[in-house]
Amino acid sequence: MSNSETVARQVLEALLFAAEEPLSARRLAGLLEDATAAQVADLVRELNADYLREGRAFHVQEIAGGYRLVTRSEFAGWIAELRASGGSPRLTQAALETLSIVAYKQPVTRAELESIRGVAVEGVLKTLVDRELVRIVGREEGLGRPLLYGTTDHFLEYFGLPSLDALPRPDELEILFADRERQAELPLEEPGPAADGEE
Amino acid sequence: MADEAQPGHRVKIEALDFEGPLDLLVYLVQKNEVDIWDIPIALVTEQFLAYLQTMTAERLESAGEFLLMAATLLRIKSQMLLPRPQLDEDEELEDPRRELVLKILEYQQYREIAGQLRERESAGRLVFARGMPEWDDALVAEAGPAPPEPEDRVTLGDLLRSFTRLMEEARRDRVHHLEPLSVTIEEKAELVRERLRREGQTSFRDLFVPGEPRSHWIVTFVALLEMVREGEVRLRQGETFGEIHVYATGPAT
Repeated sequence: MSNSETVARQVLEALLFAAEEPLSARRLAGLLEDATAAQVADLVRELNADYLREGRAFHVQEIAGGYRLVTRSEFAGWIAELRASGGSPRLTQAALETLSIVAYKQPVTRAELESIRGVAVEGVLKTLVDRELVRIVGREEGLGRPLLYGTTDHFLEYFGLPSLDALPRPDELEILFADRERQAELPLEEPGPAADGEE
Repeated sequence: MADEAQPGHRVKIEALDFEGPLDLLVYLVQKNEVDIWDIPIALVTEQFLAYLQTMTAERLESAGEFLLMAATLLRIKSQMLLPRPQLDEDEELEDPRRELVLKILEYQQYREIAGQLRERESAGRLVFARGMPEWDDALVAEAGPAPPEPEDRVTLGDLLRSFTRLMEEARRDRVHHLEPLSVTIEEKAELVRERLRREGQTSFRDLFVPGEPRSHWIVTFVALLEMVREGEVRLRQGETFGEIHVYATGPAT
């Protein structure tokens, strides 16, 4: 391994250590000079291989469109003791369901969320906005100009997601959906074939 | 026939809590182990109504949602009982349950995703990065007791009190004259947004421009209430009966 590569890796490590939020590959490439985003990804992989080999307590995580250094989960117990509080409270089931819909349907109005969940979501939406997992992204044109909601970068960070694409792809879900729908379209007189026991 | 409600089929659900009517329906479909595409609507309706009767007083605020679903179930049930019209060869009869089933399936899908997010949340609580917001708590603990949090809960009473006080003050030093209402709630809301964009926060009092007709003040007040309701702004009050501050919750657009 050449000397310049070693230096690049050290610079990358220093940048990640000093940063307080995830750094994007493009940003890192700019800071490293003459590097491409692909090279940054390679350097990150090498860095992680080093950490693993050396038995370090942290590694580089790909998250919210960038990279950051995080401790490994087996040390959670000690770190939790260091912290004053137990961190932010876990999200409720209602909050998670609402978030799921926002993540896929964004930008989405409150009325659409309520139609899918079958319940009022006003309170839960406020909690999600307060916790910066959801934000107002605009207003829908038309009657009443209702507010539109979308997920934030903090949403990705909170759930450890590199990007929104890391969620199960919506078109995969739609295929599943279309399949079932076709069964539904069978005439009533002939009951459709039994569901092929996927669950 | 599966559609017949048998006493032995009664499901014990009284002690359970549900997120909403769809959550309850998903539960009933699974509990009865019935085909989602051939839901025994009479049985499910009966169980649904039985649950409704057990709902406690504190769940009453969501009773309307459950009642609406009960009405839908009863409508479907009666449609199922109607004699089917004669159909031509290639004509298909729409199953009255179909729309509901699609709704259940869509909801179920998002519930599965919610489950995945729950797992990710748990995993995420085990890793720590520098500069994570949670660290502030730890640093505060080291530095000694936290300063008292500003009061977050501004009640409608607080707001009305502040507003009434402003209006009283204005009444004292202004000549009373009437004029047509020339401003909309949306225009006033936009002014509030502009101000928050510029200054990040503002005091409640500063939203009301001295010398402006009082009708404008009322419109501003209504606009602010609307923005609070939509979660667009947040209010804080330093102390009881103290100054109320207005903050933007997200990037105003």
